[in-house]
Amino acid sequence: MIDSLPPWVVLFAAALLLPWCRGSGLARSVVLLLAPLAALALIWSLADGQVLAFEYLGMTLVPLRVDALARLFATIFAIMAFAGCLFSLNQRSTAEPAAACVYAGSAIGVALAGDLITLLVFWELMALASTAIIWSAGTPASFRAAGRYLMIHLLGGMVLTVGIVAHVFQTGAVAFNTMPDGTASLLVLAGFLINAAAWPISAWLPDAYPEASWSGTVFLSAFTTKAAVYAMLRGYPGAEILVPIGLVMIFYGIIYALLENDMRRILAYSIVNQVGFMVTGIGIGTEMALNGAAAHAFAHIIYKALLLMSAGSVLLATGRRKCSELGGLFQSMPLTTICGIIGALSISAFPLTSGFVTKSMINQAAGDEGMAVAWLLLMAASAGVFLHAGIKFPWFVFFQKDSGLRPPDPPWNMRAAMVLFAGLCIGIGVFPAPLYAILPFPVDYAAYTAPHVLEMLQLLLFSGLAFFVLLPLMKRTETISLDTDWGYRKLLPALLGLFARVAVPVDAAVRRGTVSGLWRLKGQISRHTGPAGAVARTLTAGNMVVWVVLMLVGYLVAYFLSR
Amino acid sequence: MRNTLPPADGRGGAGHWLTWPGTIRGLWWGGCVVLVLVTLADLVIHRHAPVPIADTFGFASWFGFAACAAMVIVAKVLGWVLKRRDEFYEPRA
Repeated sequence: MIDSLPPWVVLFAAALLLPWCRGSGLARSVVLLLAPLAALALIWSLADGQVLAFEYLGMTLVPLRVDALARLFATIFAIMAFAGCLFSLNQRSTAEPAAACVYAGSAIGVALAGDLITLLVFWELMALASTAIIWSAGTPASFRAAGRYLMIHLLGGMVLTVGIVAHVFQTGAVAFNTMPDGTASLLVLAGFLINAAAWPISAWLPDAYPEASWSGTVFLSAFTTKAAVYAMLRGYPGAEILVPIGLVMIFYGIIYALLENDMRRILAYSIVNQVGFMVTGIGIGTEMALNGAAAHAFAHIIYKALLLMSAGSVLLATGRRKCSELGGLFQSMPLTTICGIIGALSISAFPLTSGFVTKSMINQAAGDEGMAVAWLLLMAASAGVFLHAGIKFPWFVFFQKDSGLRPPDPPWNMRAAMVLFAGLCIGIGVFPAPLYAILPFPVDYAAYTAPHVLEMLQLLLFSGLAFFVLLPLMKRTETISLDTDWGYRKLLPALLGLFARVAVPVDAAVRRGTVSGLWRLKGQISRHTGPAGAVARTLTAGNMVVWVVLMLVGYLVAYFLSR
Repeated sequence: MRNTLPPADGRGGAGHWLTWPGTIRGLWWGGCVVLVLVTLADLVIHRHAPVPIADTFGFASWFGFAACAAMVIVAKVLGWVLKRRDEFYEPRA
């Protein structure tokens, strides 16, 4: 029984239990911490293959399919759920932790789904649970952001549903493996790309994630985009279209993060940037590239959560999000600063951190395949990551000018979660072998060669020099930058307003004209059919004879003409 | 929990050692030495070059700097077009 129990069941059960633990902080903490650990244990107790399968409506559904790729993503989702729950133990909201458990469970469900129908169910559950996390921040801004987020994800879900239905109709198969070519397959890919925040449908991420609570954003950073990365790794390895899509995501993330003033929005844009590296790797499609994309997703979940934990700690302690209002916090929040810096170095792929041993596999694959342009762009982007996230985030939040704020480091559980993930960032960076051992393909790659270390040091240190030399050009302003969400937040409402301004008078004129026309018609009818009307008048026999004669003459004329 | 420590002096107090002008000067000099050293290391460590341009001396150094400068300038130019006050999307009262 236990060897076929889906790991997500434990997290869903925890979500159901949490409302009953409201009176007891200890019970709540125990449930929140044990559920992800139990899920992790279950993931590793499952044997490879189709663990659970049944027939439903003539389809073979496989809610549990385990292989190296599925186990890798399910594992990191469970680890993330544990650290996220530890970090958010003192979150007062009841809804947020429950939604987080459903969210994490659904992401694990996606990773372990062996068929497209099961995948779709968990995909939609993820959308609902993540919306609930944003919404549970309880601010008017979060409520509005949650609405926009849900709109985009329902659209993405609809595209995915249509694609899956068309695929099943065409092929008769529901199994989720490498997808064939065709329109249905493209729709499924589009559904995945929407969740991966691929440009141009990318603005939902930096719009919504920073509006969640100090702890909610930590959960949000991990599951939706990385579940999409998993789905593309499974369904579209080597799809060449993903290379340009990924490269656009990479530079879009960098440029917008450079423009941004909100510390959590900087990190949100950098999620798009980092997912861009993974999408590019999937598009390159060699075993090295796919291993790189999978490993980078694993490492990214950890260092991005760490960065957002440090940002969340600052937000909780100061109530401020804007870089222009922060600075100098290293003096009173040393642990948060150190953990933030470790996360920043990891995202930048600095030697001895996790990003160094994972992202470099993607760059290496591009070089090995002779993709000169892609390799150069990935190199430029690696420098850009250090610029926008590696230095900009810690510099403006913890250093730069002294804001005069002196908040202490956060409570023990938040510190413990940060230390755990900072330790993993360095641990994976120093000893990558355990991570390499659980990747989908055998790894034939050595990250720590003298040329590679030297190349990254040159690239990153000179990127750092560029940051400080060009600092006057990056002066913080209290601004946001227009993104593609401007289309549905400003343009569409404006067009609807314009339409209303034109349509309302036209509509009123048409209605008025129709009603007055009908009244005139009624008057005419009354005039002709009333007691004094022509229709009601009695006709004499003489008149009738005249009309009959005229009709007969007309008939005769027609008869002769027709002969 | 908020601001439980006394605020910074801000008027010439000793402050944290990392904020001392001498420390900052030292960090700049130390940084410059490291930059020169990692670039000169190209003389002794041969890097694999997937593209011909990557074979130039100190490639990752100058390329990293140039790429970042380009990205900062592009962001600056785009900022003139894209930046709006941060209450741009706030609903009107």
